[in-house]
Parts: sequence; structure tokens; C-alpha cells
Amino acid sequence: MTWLGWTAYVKLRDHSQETSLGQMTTLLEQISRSTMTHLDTARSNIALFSGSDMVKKYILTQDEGNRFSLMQPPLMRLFASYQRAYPDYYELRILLPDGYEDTRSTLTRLPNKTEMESDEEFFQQLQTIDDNVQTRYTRNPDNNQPVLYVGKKIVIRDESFEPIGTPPSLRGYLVISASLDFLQAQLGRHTIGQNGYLFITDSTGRPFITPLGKTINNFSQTAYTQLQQTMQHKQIVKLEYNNQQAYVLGTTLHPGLQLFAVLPETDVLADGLALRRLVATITIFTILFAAVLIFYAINRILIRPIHQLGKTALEIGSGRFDTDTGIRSRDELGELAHSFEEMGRNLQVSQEQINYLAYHDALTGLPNRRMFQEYLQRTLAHAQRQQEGLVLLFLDLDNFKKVNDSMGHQAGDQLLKDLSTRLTDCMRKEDQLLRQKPLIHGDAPHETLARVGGDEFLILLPHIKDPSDAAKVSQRILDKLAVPFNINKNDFFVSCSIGISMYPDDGNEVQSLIKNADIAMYHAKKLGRNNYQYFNESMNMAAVERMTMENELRKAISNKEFVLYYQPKIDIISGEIKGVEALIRWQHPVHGLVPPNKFIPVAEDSGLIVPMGEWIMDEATRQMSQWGQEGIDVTMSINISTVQLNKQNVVEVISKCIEQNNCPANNLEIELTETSIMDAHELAANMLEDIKALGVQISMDDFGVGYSSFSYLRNLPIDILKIDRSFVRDITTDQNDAAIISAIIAMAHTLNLTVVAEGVETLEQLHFLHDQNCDIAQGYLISRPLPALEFVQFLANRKRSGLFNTAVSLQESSPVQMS
Amino acid sequence: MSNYFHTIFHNFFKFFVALLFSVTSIAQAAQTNELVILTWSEYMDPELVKQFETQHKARIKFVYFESDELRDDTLVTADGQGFDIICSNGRAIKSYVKRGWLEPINDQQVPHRKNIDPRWLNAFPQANEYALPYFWGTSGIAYRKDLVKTPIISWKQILKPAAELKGKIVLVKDARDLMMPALKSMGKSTNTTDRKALEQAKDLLLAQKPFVKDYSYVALTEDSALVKGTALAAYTYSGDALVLAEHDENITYVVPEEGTILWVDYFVVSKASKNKKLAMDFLNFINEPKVAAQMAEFVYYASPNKAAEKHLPQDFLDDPVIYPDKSLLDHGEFFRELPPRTQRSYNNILPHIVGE
Repeated sequence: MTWLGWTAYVKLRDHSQETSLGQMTTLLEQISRSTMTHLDTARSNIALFSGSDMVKKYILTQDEGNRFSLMQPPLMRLFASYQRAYPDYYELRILLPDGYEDTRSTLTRLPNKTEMESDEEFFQQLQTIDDNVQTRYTRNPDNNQPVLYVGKKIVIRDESFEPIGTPPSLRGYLVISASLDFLQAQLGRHTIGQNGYLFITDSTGRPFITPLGKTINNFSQTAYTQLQQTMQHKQIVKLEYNNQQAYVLGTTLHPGLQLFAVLPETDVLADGLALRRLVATITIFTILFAAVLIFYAINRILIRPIHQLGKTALEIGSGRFDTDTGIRSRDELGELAHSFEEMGRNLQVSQEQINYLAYHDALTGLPNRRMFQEYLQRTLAHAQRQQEGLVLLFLDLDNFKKVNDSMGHQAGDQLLKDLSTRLTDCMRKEDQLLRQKPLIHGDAPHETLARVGGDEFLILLPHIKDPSDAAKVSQRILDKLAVPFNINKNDFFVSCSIGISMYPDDGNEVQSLIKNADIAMYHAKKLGRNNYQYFNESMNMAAVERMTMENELRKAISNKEFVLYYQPKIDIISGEIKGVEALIRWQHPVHGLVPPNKFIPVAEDSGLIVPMGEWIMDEATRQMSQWGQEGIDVTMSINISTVQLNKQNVVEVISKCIEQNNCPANNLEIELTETSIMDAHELAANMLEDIKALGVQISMDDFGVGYSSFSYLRNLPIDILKIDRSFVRDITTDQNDAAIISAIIAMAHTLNLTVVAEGVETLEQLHFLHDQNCDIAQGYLISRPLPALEFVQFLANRKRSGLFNTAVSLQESSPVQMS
Repeated sequence: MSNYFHTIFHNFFKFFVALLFSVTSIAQAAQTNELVILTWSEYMDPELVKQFETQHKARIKFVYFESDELRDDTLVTADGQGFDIICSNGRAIKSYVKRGWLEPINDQQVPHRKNIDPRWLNAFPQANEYALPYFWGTSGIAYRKDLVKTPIISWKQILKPAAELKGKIVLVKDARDLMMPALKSMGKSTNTTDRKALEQAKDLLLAQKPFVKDYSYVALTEDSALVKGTALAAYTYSGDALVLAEHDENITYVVPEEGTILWVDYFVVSKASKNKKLAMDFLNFINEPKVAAQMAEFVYYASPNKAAEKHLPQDFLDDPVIYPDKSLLDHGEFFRELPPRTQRSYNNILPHIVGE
């Protein structure tokens, strides 16, 4: 017993030690990762910033006077917009090859120690032969704070003066100073054990970033040497630090930057001492207790088993077949107990067979009515508790009697078996009930199929969110039955009628739900069989409406009931009409103009969007070339849906339309939503390249609602960025949206993207966009979408009466009166 | 120099109105007969623009900028292309010439150039060769004489203001226009290169911040802060103060006793223009004596065109705000080009004064 206590102590101590030390490893990894992310972002940003047109123009301006009087203010405005997007880049600088600090943009007032950087270590690092981005963690002499310097050489050729073939030369350096406050905050947030802590040192082991309010001493020379060796193997070492023994783990974050975790040994020992006391106490108590127990056990070793056997016999008699005697001994008593258990198991098997017959349909193996009702009862209770809906389908074969009469009962039985297999296939795989498992109380309810009469089946669909799901399952069943059954080498066509009732709308009891589903099924029969009906009339209406819409859409495609409307876009600086976006409208022969949000979802769901998309492409390119002949020169943008991307070769469709209609590809734009591009990642990148190869421009629609990742955008061949209307709506009232838009525009321009704002409705919004250098605007302020003829008139009106309509609407929203 | 004859909304409103007038002209006008002019908004009488369009069967399109610096922004981004005529302040001319953006202008191309007072033609380096002066004026303070206890007569009263002006002063977001009053109040030239003086001026401006309501040119409409009384004093250009006085007669323009600057706005022709002949014709047109006079009356600014004066009413010519007295003309400074590294200091000072 004492040995046991000692072993427990050693194990527990080791475990507690491992936990503390494991925590050290985890924290080190966590901080390493966030440091890497910060560094990678800065690396890609410096490539982005240094590639901007403005920086190139600036650095190529040799004349100092010209550079400072004309070029620097715009450059500093650009830098400030970068800094608003990345506030931790508190300093952006351009250094000249001789080390002169030519431009310095700081977010707040920051003293400047020197304007000649030639002696600074980082500047010397920048001058190395290596052309890549240089990084260095050091202390900024201006504020004595830890900083990450990220610098890049700007090596370019002056195309306006230097002949082609001149090698590009070094013009200067771009340097980001990024604040490391986030690292300090991270160090402060985490503790190890009671008194353990984290800190970062430079390459010599001197503390560099330390948790706020904590004094950190240097490692001794011997300790530091020892650490350097163990760090490579990620080993925790015990060494003397701060005059005490401590566990230390270190890792190199970056050349010249090392992260250490320290846990004083006293921490671990203190745990161990407490543990030792506890284990000793427990051991003593256990010994005392065991003594009493052994005395008691010997007394009962014979009496209890015999007593137990008697009890078991009684339990088996009362129907609890799996009763365990609890006797495992190998003596005679044990054998007797084993025989008792064997007898119980045999009795249980026969009982289960009886049960199965009582609860299942012998022909198909499906649950029968009795089982279904019991299960439905439980599922209803569950649905009530969870406040969920559930659906009951009552299914009856339409012409089963005929099969039975003409082919005999055997064929009929085979048909029912095949049918139940098909029905099972219609349900979700994980819910198939055919696994002959009893429906155990407490399981989450699943879809259940039961045969409840000769050719009658009931299907239970739990967890229903949308009543239309019931229609989907029913339609799936009808479709599945449309394929003939092959029995004895004969094909049989069988259809069925389905009635749908729903909890809680159509009843909240087992009987009423089944009855109502039955009624709905008879209704379906009356309506000509081979269909499904909801018990609730309004549900039938909705299902019918959707089906009707789908059928009418099909007709509309062949009858050419669609028209394209064109919404103008203006150049914000010049006010010229730059292009139009083609938008589809459905001219319904009875209902008139149907708005796209009514029919596009149905078209996408049913796949009809594919032929529709082809028509749009064809019509828009045709219109474009017609306008071209009339001397109207505008770009045309066309939306492509995600479904189209997945279902057809869009590139082929575009190139075919361009060719057939003889339209200039460079005036064509394809609008894709951000989400659809991201969803079809690799496929999309290749496809976009193919579209670009046709000479067509690509526009990213609804930018800002999805992923909105600029580093991702860099790798895609996008020309145009369309800011989502939801941002534009609030730019004049919501500071956040305004800041986001201004950052999006600045970054997009760095990537040479044209920026379009959609949903522009007020003059204030247009003004704001103009201020932020947004390129193009679209929205009701300029014009609603127009039919082709009206658009031509609109253009002519602008020429003739000079924007009269627009001017009037502007006057109303403008605080100034026309003078 | 600059004319901020607009507010934000005004600007946009006018942007559309200008399109209205400009696009109005002959529908079949060929692309080749179009001029694009980059200028301040509401700086040209639309009636006269229309007259030119009819005479020359041409179209004129205006693009407006909001400050000298933002005009530079636009031109730098477009590499000086896309515009036929540009309205420029005096000291920018040399920068533009250096970048090869400008076309020389002479008497053969613009015969009415001879009407222009040589004083203004020669006021800035290379202006004579590349630019035609359009208007000139002074900078000063417009203030509400009915709402302040002490009348304002000096820059010092703006830089080290009395308590009653807390949060009631409107300045501009332009480095030279901000520093000039500070330097003048210290008795320094606005063109000084003395680093210590510049540092002191910057400190003055930083200490003045609590008194400043806004660093953007005061609106000239009836909603203007100065008209409503939410601002009591503003840095303005001479003619603009007269526009404000039309809304409220208590708004007075003063040239502070420490002195001020004179500014000149010029028109230049872009070298990239495909329509230089038409551009020169337009510059000649606006320098016809009668046309120049009507333009001046439209904006309340003094025309450098000598021949225009006989077409202007006497009270216009006698107005001391439009035509300041001779001593001011003789002693007023221009914003001269600064040595590069002094200019660099200006660039660094601005964001920290107008920033958050």
C-alpha cells in the first residue's frame, strides 16, 4: 500500500510537471505563429506598396525641387491612406541610395533623431546584394521602442528617359516601421503555472520585449551558451537564472529575435510538496479503511454469492434476461453462476425474435404500423421539447391491385420488396431504417419508413425547417418510381399518391397526423394520382406556385419573354457615361414585368439559369455590336451566376457570342461575385485566365460582403472592383463604412484596379466617392436601368438638353440653389 | 493662387451644372472640337462659356479641383495628360514646365495677351513664357464684426486668439496658406527658410488648434458657418469675402496689419493637348476686354487685363477689397518657390497640424 502511494505520487508529480512544461511549448508555438503572420503580411504589403505607380513616379523624379514641391504631397496622402488601413505601420519612409531620409509619413507626431540613415544598421542591411525584402527586429532610435523594419530596394528603369535595354538601377528604398505592441500584449496575456512568464530577447540574449511591468534580467553567460545548444532541439532545460533554478524553453522567431518561456523550479516543487502531503494522507487512510474492509469481506465471501444466485434466478423468472450475477470466481460457485447467465441469454434471443415479429413487417423487413406509431409518439414528444416541426408522408400505390391481379401475389410481393428498397434510397443515408435496429428511446429522431398496409407506406421526416422540404422528398419519390420495376423479366410501371401532414400545423397527436396525411393522400388520388398534396391548402398553393413558376420560366425561355435593361455607369471625374450593366427582366404575357429577385432563385435552383445566361450573353453582345454601328461606344458588363460557373463552360459561351455577334471583346466585362470565385478556387483562377485571354475584362461584384482579401485578389486576373451597395449606402453616415471604402479604394488603386461604386443614390455619396478617388459610379442618382431604346434616348438627351433630368434631381438634394 | 469659391456641395452641384452647359452645345460637335479645362468651380461665367462654344462650334468640359494640392494630385496621377487647359497657381508653373507638361504661349497665338499688365505676366518664374494670368487678389481675414468684442486687425489675434474665439476660427488645409499667417505674426517673411522660425510657426499652429473649428475653406453659401455665426473668423481670399458679405453685411474683410500675400491664378495649356489651337483661341477669347470685364464682375476679382478696366463700373474699380491700395501692392509678398528641403519641412508639418 505504501509502495502504491509512492508510485501515485511520482506519477502525479511527473504529470503536473509535464502539464506546466507542455504549456510552455504550446505558448511558444502560438506566439511564433502570430509573429510569422505579422511578418508575412508586412512582407507582402511592402511588395504591394513599392509596386504602386505613385511610388515609382516619385522615386524617378530626380530633381529635388520638383520632387518636394509637386510629387511629395500626393505620395504622403497615399502613404497616409495605407497607414489608415494598417495602423501598426506607424512610419512609412523612402530612403535614397545614400541613406537620406527623403520621405517620412508618421501617423502621429514622432520625433526624428536623424535624417541621414547611412550609419543605421538596418540601412546597411538594405544595401546588401540580396534584392529581397529585408526585415529586422530592433529598437527604433526615434522612440526607443521595439520595432519591425521591413524594407525593399526600389530598382527600376526610367522608361521616359532611358533607352530600352538599359538595366534598371537602384533608386531608393521603401521602409515600413511596424509597431510590436501586439507582441508585448501577447506576452502579458499569458502566464505559465503560478510564476512562469514569457519574454523576447535580441541575439545576444538581452531582453528586447518584456511583459508590461515585469523586470527581466539577462541570462548568465554559461546559461545562455547552454540555451543556444538546447534551443535547436526544442528541449526544456533546467538552469540557474535570477539566482534560482528554473525550467527554460527557447525558440528563434527570426534572426536576432528569440522567445523564452521561464518557469521557476520552486513552482514545480511547490506543486510536488503539496502533492506529497496529499498522497501520504490518502495512503494512511486507505490502509486503515482496507483493514476494516478485508475483515468484512472474508465474512461475506461465501454468503453473498449464494444470496446473489438466488436473486438472479428470481430476476430471470421476471423477464430480465441479461441479468449479471456479478460472480466471476473460478470455483464451483462461479460455474454455477455462468450456467445461470447462459440460460438468461438463451431466453433473451427467443424473446427478441418474438418482439421483432410483433414490430416489423415480415415481407419487407420495414417497421410496421405498431412500431411506427410508437416511434412517432416518441418523436412527437421530442419535437415538442425541441420546438421543431416534423412531416408525415402517407404513400399509397396507384395501381398495385392491377399488378397483383395480373401477375399473381408472388410478383406483387417482389414489387413491394423492390419498392421498399427504392423508398429507402430516397431517404438520407444516415437515417436509413433498414438496418434492423430497434428504435431506441433517446436516439435523435431520424427519417423513418414503415409499411402500414398492403400497399400503404408511412414516412416520417423529423427536424423539418422548411415545409417545402416535404415537397422535395415527395418529388424525389415520384421521380424514383417513374423508372419501371423489372420483375420476372417484365417491366411494371407503378406510380403513387402522397399525402403530406405536418406537425404542429396539421395536428399534434399521432392519430390525427396519420389521419390527415391519409386524407391528403386521398385528395392526391382524386387529383389524378401520381402527385403529392399537402393537407394544408395554402401549402399546396405554394408548391403549385413554384412549380408553375418553373414551368413558365421554361416556356419564357422558348418564347423569348426576357428583355435586357441597361443601367448606365458614369466616370466620376468627367461625368461621362462609361458603360452599362445588362440586367435581365421578364416580360410576362399576363403578369407584366416580373422583378429578377422573384425568378432568379427559381432559375438557379432548377438549372434554368444556364440557358438563360446563354441568352443574356448573346443578347447583350448583339446589342453591343448594334450600338457600336450606331456610334455608341460604351462598355457592357454581364453578370455570371455561380451555377453557370459550375454547370457549363462559360469561356466557350463567351467566345462564341463574341464571334457570332462580332462585338469588340475589350468593351465587354464579366461580373462575378466574390463568393463564387472563392468557392471555385482553382478552377476559377484558370477560367478567369481563359476569359482574360479573350480580351474580356473581369469585374469582381459585391466586393466587401464576402472574404474581401486583398492578398488573394493580387493573384487573380481581376480588372475591376465593384464595391457592394451596402457599404455605399452608409458612407455618409457611418464612419466605419467610410473608412473601409477609403481603404478599399486606396488598396485597389495600388493593384491597378478600377473601382466602381454601385447603389449610388445621393449627391453626398457621390461627393464622398469623388473625394476618395473612386473611378466609376452606378445607381439611381445617375439613372435607373433602362430598356435599350430608352438608353439611347438617355444618351441623346444628355447631349441635347444637357443632363436636364439629372440636374433637377440633383438640385433637390443639393443645399445650394441654382444661381 | 487659389480661389476656394465653393463648398463641397456647391462644387458638385456646379459640376453637374457645368456639364449641363458644356454638353449643351452642338450635338454633332466632333470629338476634335472639345476642350477639357481643369479649374476651380464657379470661376467662369457660364454665359460667356456658352458664347465661345457657339462661336467656335466647340464643346467645353470642366473638371474641378478643390485645392492646389489636389490639382497637383490629379495631374501627377494622369502624368499631366487628359486636360487641354489648366488653372494653376503661380509657383506651380515651374514644376509643370520641369515635367514637360506645358506648351509655351505667345502673342501670335493669343493676340489679346498684349492687354495684360506685365506686372502679373512676370510675377512668377517662367510664367511669362508658359502662362496667362487670369485673376489676382489678396488673402486676409473675414470676420463677424457684430459678434466679436474686439475688432480683428492682426494675424496675431488669429494665432494667439482671445477666449471668445475658441473653436470659432476656420482655416485652410494647405501648408503655405497655414504657415503664412503664423510667420507674418512673428514678423517673418512667408518665404523664410529659417528652420527655427518654421519650428516656432509650427508650434504656434499647434497651440492654436483648440481655437480652430475646421481646416477647410469656409463655405460661401447662406449656410456658411460664418453666416450662421458658428464661426467668427475665417482665412479667405479677398473676393470671396464680398460674396459672404452679400449674405450678411456684418461680415468684414480685413488685410491684417502685419501684411499679407498677393496671389495670381494663371491659365496654362497642356503639351499633351490635341487641340492647342482651340485652347489658345479660348484664352484669347477670355482676354477680349469686354469678356475679361464680365468674368471679373462674376467673381469679384481683379483682372490683370488692363483693357478690361474701361468696361468695369466705377464702384467695382473703387472697391478696396478688390483693388487694394498701392502700398499693399508694393509690399505684398508672393508665395515664392522654397528651397527643396524647406518645402520638405512644409510637407511634414501639414499632416500633423490638420491630422487628428
